[in-house]
Amino acid sequence: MKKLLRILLLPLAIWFERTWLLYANSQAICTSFKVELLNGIHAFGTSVVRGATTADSFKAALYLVSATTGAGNTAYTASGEVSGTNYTAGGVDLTGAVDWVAPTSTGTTAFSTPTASIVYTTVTLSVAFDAVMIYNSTQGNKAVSVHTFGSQTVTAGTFTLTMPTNDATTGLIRLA
Amino acid sequence: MAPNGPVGKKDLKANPTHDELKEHFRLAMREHPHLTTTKGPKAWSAVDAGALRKVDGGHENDDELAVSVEYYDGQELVHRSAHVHLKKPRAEVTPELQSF
Repeated sequence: MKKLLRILLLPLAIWFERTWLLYANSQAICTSFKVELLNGIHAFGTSVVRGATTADSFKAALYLVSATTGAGNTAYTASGEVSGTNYTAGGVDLTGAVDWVAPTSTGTTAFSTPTASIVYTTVTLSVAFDAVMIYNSTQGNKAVSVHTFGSQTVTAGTFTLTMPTNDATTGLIRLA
Repeated sequence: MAPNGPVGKKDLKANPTHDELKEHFRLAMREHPHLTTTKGPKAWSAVDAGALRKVDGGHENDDELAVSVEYYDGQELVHRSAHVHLKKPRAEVTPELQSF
């Protein structure tokens, strides 16, 4: 009898799952919230006073292979930064009409990428470096991210970092 | 002097190949009449005439495509430029949600 009931009720259970559970609530961090975070909209704690809606300015500093920059950095630091001819401490400004492509999302991932390459012009950096820190120079040099690459040196030359494709899988900053 | 800011006016397309990156780099460097070296600027015409020995280098992996160019005066390195295209940065934030 129990077996017969199971056979009869199984299709009903499947129908119920497909028809009704589609409308069930789902737990998630809203994708729009991730985009809004990148736009500085939500303040869960003490925030900053903003006189206008203008985007912040950002800079990029290079770090030696021997440096220890990473997730623990809270702000730009001169510790472990490269030095050499024509390299100014603190690095270079992100350039372009705006520093970052307007944050957006695809699927559930919000993302943004600098609009232009990061260029260090006619520098001599003879000690190997392999990381760049991007930080917010408008907001007290607060650290944004550290990106590593293969070790390089530069001699009376130019070092250029070109940006990845700005999308949900390769954008420089992604909130998945 | 090379330009201060984005290299050249020829934007790279997304996901350039090694050759495209090399060409982009070459054109960008050629936008100005001189190659900067540790011994002062060298006119490109002199460089083309073989005054300096050029060595191209680079590598590619899942994370980046890098191109470098070196110029030697004899055995002495007098210029090295490098161009790194970040393919897929490894830093990504994945937020987690806690249930009640």
